[in-house]
Amino acid sequence: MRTFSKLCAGIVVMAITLYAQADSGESIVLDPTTGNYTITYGGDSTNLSQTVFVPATKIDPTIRSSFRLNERDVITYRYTVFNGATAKQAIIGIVLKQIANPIIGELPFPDGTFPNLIVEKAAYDAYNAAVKTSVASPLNWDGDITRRLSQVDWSPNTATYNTGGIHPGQTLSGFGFNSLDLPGISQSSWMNGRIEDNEIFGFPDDGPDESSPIFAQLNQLRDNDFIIRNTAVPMIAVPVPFDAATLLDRIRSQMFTWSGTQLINSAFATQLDRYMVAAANAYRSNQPKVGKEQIESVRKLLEHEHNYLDHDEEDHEDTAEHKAATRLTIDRLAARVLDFDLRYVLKRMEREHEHDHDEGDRRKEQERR
Amino acid sequence: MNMWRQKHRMTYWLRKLFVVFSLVASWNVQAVLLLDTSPSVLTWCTSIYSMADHFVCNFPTDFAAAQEAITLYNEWNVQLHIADPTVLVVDYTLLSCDGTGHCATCATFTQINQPTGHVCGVILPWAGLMSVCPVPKSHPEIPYIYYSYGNDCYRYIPDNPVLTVTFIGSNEVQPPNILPFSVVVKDQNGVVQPGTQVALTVDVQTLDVQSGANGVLNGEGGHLHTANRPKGGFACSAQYAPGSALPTCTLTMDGNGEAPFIFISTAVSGAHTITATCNNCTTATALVNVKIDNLITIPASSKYALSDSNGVIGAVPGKHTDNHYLASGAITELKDLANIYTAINPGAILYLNDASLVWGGLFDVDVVNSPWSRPHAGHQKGTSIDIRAANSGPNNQGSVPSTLFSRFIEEATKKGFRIGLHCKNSSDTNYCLSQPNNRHFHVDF
Ligand SMILES: [Zn+2]
Ligand SMILES: [Zn+2]
Repeated sequence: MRTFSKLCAGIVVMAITLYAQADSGESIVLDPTTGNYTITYGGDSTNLSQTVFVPATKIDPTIRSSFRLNERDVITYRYTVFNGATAKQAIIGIVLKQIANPIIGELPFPDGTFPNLIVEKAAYDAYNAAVKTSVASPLNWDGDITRRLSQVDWSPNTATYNTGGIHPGQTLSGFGFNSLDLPGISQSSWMNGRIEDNEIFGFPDDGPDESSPIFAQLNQLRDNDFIIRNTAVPMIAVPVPFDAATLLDRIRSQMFTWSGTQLINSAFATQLDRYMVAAANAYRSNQPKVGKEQIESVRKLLEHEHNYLDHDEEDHEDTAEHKAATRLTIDRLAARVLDFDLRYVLKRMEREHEHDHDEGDRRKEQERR
Repeated sequence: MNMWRQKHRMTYWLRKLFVVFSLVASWNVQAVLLLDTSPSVLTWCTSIYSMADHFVCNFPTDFAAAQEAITLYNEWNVQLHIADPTVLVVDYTLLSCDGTGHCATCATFTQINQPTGHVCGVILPWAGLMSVCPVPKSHPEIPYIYYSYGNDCYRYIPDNPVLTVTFIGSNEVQPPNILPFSVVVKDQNGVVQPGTQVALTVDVQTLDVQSGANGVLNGEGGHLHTANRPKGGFACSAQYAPGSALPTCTLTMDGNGEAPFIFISTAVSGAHTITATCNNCTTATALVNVKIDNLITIPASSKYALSDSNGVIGAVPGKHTDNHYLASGAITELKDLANIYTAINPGAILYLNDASLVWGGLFDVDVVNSPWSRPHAGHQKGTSIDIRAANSGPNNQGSVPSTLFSRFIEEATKKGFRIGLHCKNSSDTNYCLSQPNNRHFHVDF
């Protein structure tokens, strides 16, 4: 995945260089030694103006996702972030994206907006209080939920903001929350690093014109000023009342969002999908045993690719053993997510089955009376 | 000529005078170019008796043709002799209305707001009253009007055509942009007029007009200063070369009576009026509103301030006093940004400086030194706003303290905002830190 990000960065730089050649005078040029961009643009005076953009991407982040099923179908998500020793900035922003549904404890504020700030102040405060209790944060970090952007994010709190963060070589755990949704893989979660006060981006005048090409180019640079990492986040809503076939269809659609990326080989996805379709059909036609067999077939295929997929509490992706088991067919995190989701279906079906038995027993008892 | 005839002629002229006044008073006349090609009625006469004010044409050689002339051509005042239907009486004073062109002597008059023209008529045959006027062969679109008093018909024929210019194009454009147009010239009969030349000029509204007054509400675009206000210009064809706007255009209509042009707006929003004039044309205007649509004023809130102890933040009397307009989506985001700030600086609120003017477009904040030009560079689309940041200038009240710059920017960035520092008129390239005069946050939503 890291290779993929670097590839993306390469494309951006190429596009910017091309632009620099195309326009007279205005340019965005990357200094490879500092990693900073020098922006030259038509400013307020007749002369060109210049400013320096220091990216917040001088970090080397690894994020590990863990997810565990608890009682009452609650799934606990936890994240550990590591900043590589060669990083130049401390990680101060962790943003998990694509979390569409409310997480447990969060007030379902319709869209995260506050149409009338005066009237709704109480609602806003209640919302903030709920967020504080529903998002787990390490010491001296604050978590927040931004519904407008379907994200949960963390930063060092006010007390430690200027010195805190995950410094190069450091690891920090304790980020997380609970959800009723099954994990999928967010491919747009990101992290960024600290910009020092003397690196804050600004213009020595009013900046480039809003209609100018360099304004658009610069915005592209600023809007992508972070490092993206794959994360497992709640993305698949469990149907209420429970319906295994529908849930399997949702798991399948999640899997297909991985195709075309390095998360899964498309031939392998098709192979898995055949069994998952068969499982869904079996559940639809009330053949839970057949459904279970099909799901176990998928799990066997996954197990063949990666070891210890069902060790939900152990997320040591970097051990030599895990690396040795990594296949090109499916990314380890993707395999873990898929395996977890399928096990969830099996567990719920078992319980439904037991429930059916209980119901049956009760009915029989009533008949006997 | 007997006494009866003499008497008849007098009543005729009185009647005619009455008719002409009636026409002038009541007839909203469209102009037409008269092209009557019928031969003179006199060529049909075997003998002509010249009387004081009329001819008597005896025994027309082609009586049927002569009668047709009475019925159809009718630019002549011709009638059958009362006593002898084989004799035509031709009005002497109308003689030049003889089929060669204009009825130049019918009756010339000039009236304010009316084009110069002629009144031409026909006295219907006396042999029995006829209330139906003939349809003129030349320019039948100008009908006769029947006057029962004299059993006669008259019509008004303008000397020149009255042409109409029509603009074809949209009436709104975002600044700065181009708006393709064309003009079509037609006469009153809808006939296109190839070769006609049309001159174009453009003007812009400079007064803040209230609804219902003669102008467009907010048509001044929020600029209360008027000197040297740019008006936009033209490309006098369908082709547009950037930077080539002309203040006026003279267009020549093509074979379809049409000519394209392009209105080139400046970056300054406002209600623009394009005026088209040409010979024999009624002046035509096209209103073009150069504006960003649907900007709304930022609503009051306890989470941010639009005014400080000196009044509306950023307002400059006589220049721009209404400076807090945004697109509705940007207002929603602004409220989120205000919440972000309140979270990191409890009890404090954001002090909001310039957003956009009422119709967006160029916001020439430095009116004194550079009216009608940047800065601001942004603030044109209702998607950006300035927020006070700690500075050494006079606008420091309620500003974000410099100790919170980094935190505020990081929190805002995490929530998808594009925010940075701006310092006007600074030669400093070190992120505004050593040039705190005029320092402020600039947010692009
Ligand atoms: Zn102005
Ligand atoms: Zn600004």
